[in-house]
Amino acid sequence: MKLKVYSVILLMAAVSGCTTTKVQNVKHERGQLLKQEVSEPVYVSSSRKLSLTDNQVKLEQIDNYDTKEIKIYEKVQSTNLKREGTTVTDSPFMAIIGTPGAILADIFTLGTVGFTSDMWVKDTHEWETVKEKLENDFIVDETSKRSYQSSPLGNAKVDVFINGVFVDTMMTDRSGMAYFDLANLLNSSDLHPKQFITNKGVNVEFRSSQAKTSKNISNRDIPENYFAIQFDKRRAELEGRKGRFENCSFIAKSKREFFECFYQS
Amino acid sequence: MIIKKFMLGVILITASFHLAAQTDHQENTPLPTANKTQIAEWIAQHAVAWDEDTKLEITGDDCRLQINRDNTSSIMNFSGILFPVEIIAKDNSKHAYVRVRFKDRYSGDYGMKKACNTQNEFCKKNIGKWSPISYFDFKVTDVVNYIGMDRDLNHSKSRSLARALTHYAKLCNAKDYEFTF
Repeated sequence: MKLKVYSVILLMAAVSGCTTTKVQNVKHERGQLLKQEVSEPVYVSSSRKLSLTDNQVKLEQIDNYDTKEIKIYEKVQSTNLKREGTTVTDSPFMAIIGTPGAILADIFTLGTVGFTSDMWVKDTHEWETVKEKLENDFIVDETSKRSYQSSPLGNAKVDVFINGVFVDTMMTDRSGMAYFDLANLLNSSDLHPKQFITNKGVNVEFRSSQAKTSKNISNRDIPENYFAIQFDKRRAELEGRKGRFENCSFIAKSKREFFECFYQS
Repeated sequence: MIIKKFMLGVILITASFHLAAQTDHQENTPLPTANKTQIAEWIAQHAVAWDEDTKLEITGDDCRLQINRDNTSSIMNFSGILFPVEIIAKDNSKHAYVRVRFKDRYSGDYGMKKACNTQNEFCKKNIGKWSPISYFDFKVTDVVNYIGMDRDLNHSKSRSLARALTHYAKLCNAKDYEFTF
């Protein structure tokens, strides 16, 4: 029986005039671009984002999407840039599947395989199967791109911390915004103005349930209004050093300058 | 007779007193008494006028004087002066210096200074650190050594300035005490 099979194969080979041209370790490179598809964005995950500008914070919901771009190229043997189908063998049997374009057309026109590119990327498993099949005959390039969509999150709590200490809670409005006044925040923190003259600024941090943001504000950028309020608030303490209080009042053109004078020596 | 002589005596004495009083009045018209503001002005004007060498600007208000030179700005608070205001000489200098010392010398509560340079546009910009000073010297240009024979002649400027400073400080409630030793 075995002998019969072998003899048939031998006969077939003889008939086909197969010249043993099959090349081992064939390397391929891209030929013509046959198909290019971009999938619909597919939802991946969500996160929240707090962003900070001047005197406002914005709370947003960020929805992340993944988009696949698939490019299918002709598979060409790199050594002589011949098509694989024709290179491997001149056998008339092989010539049947020798036109890669035909199979590809089937796949993409919902014919034989029956998948659209959208379906591939929505169902990873299916796509992987299709991809594997395709890769036998084509070079498949798959790149994914991240994209996101943001939408404001209103009516959410945002806690404010100054130098790590809680001072206030704000609520975001319908557009996800919450506005603050740095002077007021600093005043409600009850931090001593001395540290804004002699130390390195202030750290303001905003925290919501899943996001936070912070900013270091240099002493130079602390509003005059803060010093004005602190001056009135701590007047008795300051006047404890009467001479210096008077001197600094005389020298200073603003309450910030007053505090600079009062604590700089 | 005795009564006549006595009467004459009384008349003469009375007349002479009266005359003396009149001449006194004519020769020594009392100077007006300066108030605090006027004294501060006097000090500012005289201290600048009598310091002939360096650029000096004095501004002041209510017991505080700010003194700007090219390279320093100083402020002193007259309520914190330690009496007495001294007149001193320095080595290799022909000038007299009126030295005002402050209480709490390391605290900067009554006297402070800071450097003036290009960075702060010679103290026009409020940049730079104020640091405490324990005394301030007003220089009184005096080409003749005020110590020695010429003392009474040439010492008058520095003595006047010292007196004015002392008086001003007292008006600003700087305290001096009577001691019984």
